[in-house]
Amino acid sequence: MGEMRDDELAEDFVARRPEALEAAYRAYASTLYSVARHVLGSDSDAQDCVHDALLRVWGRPGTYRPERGSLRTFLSVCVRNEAIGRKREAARHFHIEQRAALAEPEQPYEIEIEDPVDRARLHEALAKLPSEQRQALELAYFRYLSHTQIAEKLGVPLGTIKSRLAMGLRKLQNALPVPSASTL
Amino acid sequence: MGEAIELYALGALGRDEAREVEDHAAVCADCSRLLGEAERTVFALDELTVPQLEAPPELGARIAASSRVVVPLRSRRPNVALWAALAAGLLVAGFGATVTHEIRNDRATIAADDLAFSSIAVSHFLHTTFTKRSPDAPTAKVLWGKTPHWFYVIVDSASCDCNVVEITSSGERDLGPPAPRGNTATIFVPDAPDAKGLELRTGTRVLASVQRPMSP
Ligand SMILES: [Zn+2]
Repeated sequence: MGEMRDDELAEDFVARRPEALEAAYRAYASTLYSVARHVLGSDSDAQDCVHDALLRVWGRPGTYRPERGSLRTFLSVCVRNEAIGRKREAARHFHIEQRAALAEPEQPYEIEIEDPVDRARLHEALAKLPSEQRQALELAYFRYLSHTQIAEKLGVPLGTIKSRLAMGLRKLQNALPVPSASTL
Repeated sequence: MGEAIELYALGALGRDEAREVEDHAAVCADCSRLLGEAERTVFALDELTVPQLEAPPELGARIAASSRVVVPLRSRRPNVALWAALAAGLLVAGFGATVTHEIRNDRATIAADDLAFSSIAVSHFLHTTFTKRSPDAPTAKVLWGKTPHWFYVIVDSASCDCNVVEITSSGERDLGPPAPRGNTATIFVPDAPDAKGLELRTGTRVLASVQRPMSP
């Protein structure tokens, strides 16, 4: 199976050609594995997560449709959400860890990014957001807290947190560099 | 869907809420488009913050094997209760004996559910039990379909730490772990004309094995 273009992969995926899941995985393996590994921190957990997330999507036709945009982005977010779900479940088993995360003082999150250019871009984009939107977004994106956990941690009503997260992400859309065409 | 779209993309929803968003996006083009935009923003964040690693080769092999045996569900939600009831019923029925079954009563209900169900519902099959090779082997059986040659493995444990391996005359094929359904775990292979037998393995250790029976 030679190199396939992203739109061909997406077309095959929607048409449910038998090899489409395997082909999509092969094309995006590094992206998908990296995101799971980043959230979960362990190789075997990351492998289980990618496997289960992809098969869940594959087992439910219609979940991905062309209007959604790039297949890579869709699968990457599916894997990320699966990883976050697993991380939360594990934390529920170890109650203490979760309590500790919720009780931590609200210090600005130290973002570890190797590449200085990427780090600068992220800081610049986040700096454009109102501070309460940035704070909610950082707790969701970097600490994997749910909307209810964020509301609890900050002592702010759930509805307020929901709109801060949604507004923050919409603003970030314009502030972040557009992902390169090759990765979309 | 409103704010749920951005919350979904961020991973900030609970599992049930996330499922609702997925189900809605599957039938609504507008929300699908908005969801795609929100996902692209999260993906752009990932590009800045997630170090890129090489995926281990065994993961690709595992996904390839599973994608061949996972049967797409026709209904948007798998009918887990129905599945579990059928699997449990088959596990109890005719234990130890090799018998030919045909499910007539529930055919209409069952056939609508998914391909595995309809295969079982509309064709004759043989019914065999795995022989335990190890004291910690779970009880398991397999239904062998005749037209076409599907098979359906039912392990009487939702958490069996084992893979199902298909043995053919030319080699073997690791099908991965069976998927939990209620108190059982199952795997369905829609077309396997070359299967001579099956093994349940943990690593390289064989827990149980079974031969494909000769047609009566
Ligand atoms: Zn909609």
